[in-house]
Amino acid sequence: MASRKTTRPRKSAPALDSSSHVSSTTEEMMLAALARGDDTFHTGRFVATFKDGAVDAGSKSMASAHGMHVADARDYDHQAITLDNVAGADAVVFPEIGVALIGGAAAQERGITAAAEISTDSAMASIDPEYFVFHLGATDAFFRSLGTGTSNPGDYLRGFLRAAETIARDLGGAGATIAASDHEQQALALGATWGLVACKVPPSTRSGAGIKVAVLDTGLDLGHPDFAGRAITSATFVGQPVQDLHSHGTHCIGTSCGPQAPAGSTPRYGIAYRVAIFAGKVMSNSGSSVGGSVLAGMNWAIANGCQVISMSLGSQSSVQPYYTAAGQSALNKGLLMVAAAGNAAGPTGAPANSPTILSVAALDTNLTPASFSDFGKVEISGPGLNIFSSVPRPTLYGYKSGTSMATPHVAGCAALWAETSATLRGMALWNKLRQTAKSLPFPPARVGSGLVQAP
Amino acid sequence: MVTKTKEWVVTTVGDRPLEDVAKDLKQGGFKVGQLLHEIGLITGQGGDDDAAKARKVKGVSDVSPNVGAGVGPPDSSDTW
Repeated sequence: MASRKTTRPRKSAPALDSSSHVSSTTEEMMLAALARGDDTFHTGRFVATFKDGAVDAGSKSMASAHGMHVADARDYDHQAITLDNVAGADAVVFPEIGVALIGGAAAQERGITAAAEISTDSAMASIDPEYFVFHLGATDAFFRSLGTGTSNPGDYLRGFLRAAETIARDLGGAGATIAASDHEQQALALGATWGLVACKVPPSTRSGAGIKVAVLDTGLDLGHPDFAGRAITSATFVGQPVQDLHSHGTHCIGTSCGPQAPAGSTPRYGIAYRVAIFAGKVMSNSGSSVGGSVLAGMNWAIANGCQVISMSLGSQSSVQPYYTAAGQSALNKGLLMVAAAGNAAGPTGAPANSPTILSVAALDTNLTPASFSDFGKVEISGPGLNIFSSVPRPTLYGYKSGTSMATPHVAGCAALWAETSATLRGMALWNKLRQTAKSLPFPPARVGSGLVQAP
Repeated sequence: MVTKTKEWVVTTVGDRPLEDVAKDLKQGGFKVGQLLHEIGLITGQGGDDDAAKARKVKGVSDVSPNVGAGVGPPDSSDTW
């Protein structure tokens, strides 16, 4: 165990919430936070960090000096304590990580705040506010479930910006304010996702008309309303129907080939909205390849003359000669394979690491390399963090992150470029994408030639 | 000693019809799967010894295990 701080940091103290207890549910605390309207993302509870070796002393002090009813994880089988079985406790001690969670009501009654001074002989090293932690993509669904009316993606984006700025303010210090990125601000104004804005898709006059784009993935929700009336050819190579029961494929096809103007207030999220879609299901509904399904899908896409073949899939493995051969076959026929570098923050995976396949890294909203993005063999970059696109019914839309999301941005833009000239095929298209990419101040091994741009 | 059966991908140089290459692979004990003409590949199964024989077939440039691929779990916001 290590004490995280030796002195208590100075920080602004969020308003206490006397309604929060250690056993409060996330929903209860979120509703209370919304009612407060303080935008701090503070749950109302506090986290006390004990000094090294001071867990027992700190636990006793909380009980004796502060009169708290303290629950200790060691009193439960295998320390499998859950916060819904500690009703009545004012605080819960987690000895393995050297911290205690203190309910807001108990803290307020005893004058415990993050701003309070801690005596030098205290067993506690620090007391910090507890904050909500959101799994990427979960925020919108959560607010939607609460019926707060913020399910509109624009509202979500505005909320995201507020949260980012609030967190920056709470971190304190000059220059800590994180300004909303230009792309996020423009996205709000243009009614398009930040990724499309960053790639300059909205002002492009191209639609991908006359171009075939194959997306080799988990299939497509063939009944999704945003694809009604589109030219769709599909095939499965995994022994399951093309219908996407996973969501990854529908999301990727949405970005690369989705509509120019989705219904209602949904922002534009699709790039090449007039291409012929070739949905090859090479991944099962559990998200894995089956036998030679990826290779069979590649073969199918080439046989159908798809000028752009998008593959947001792979494995952390070395260069595979067969992928290299497949990529070369595509280039020889004037077709281009685009693949995601991978999300292991390690060397580019296969098939993207093959020299004949265009490898795509992921950028965040500030156009810096995403922390997870693989590196090394990278030709170009695309938006890959918190990307809004289509998902299977009944949800219809959702957010995902990864080089998987960056890749269809490149594939979609490739289709737009291919529409501009019949000579932009295969290697010529590869070169055009790289030549027109927006330069970024990062090593080529992280971002390649830069951010893909629409014509 | 019995060798474990694996999935393999045979890469060809393109100087022979895939059917002819596949015929030779079968004679060497390799269980041929798909013939992928557009990309000059043959998938199949066999042990390490079968793969070693396959590498000596005329027109074969490489025989490697199929590493497979993935995109992450269903409905996840984090992907490949």
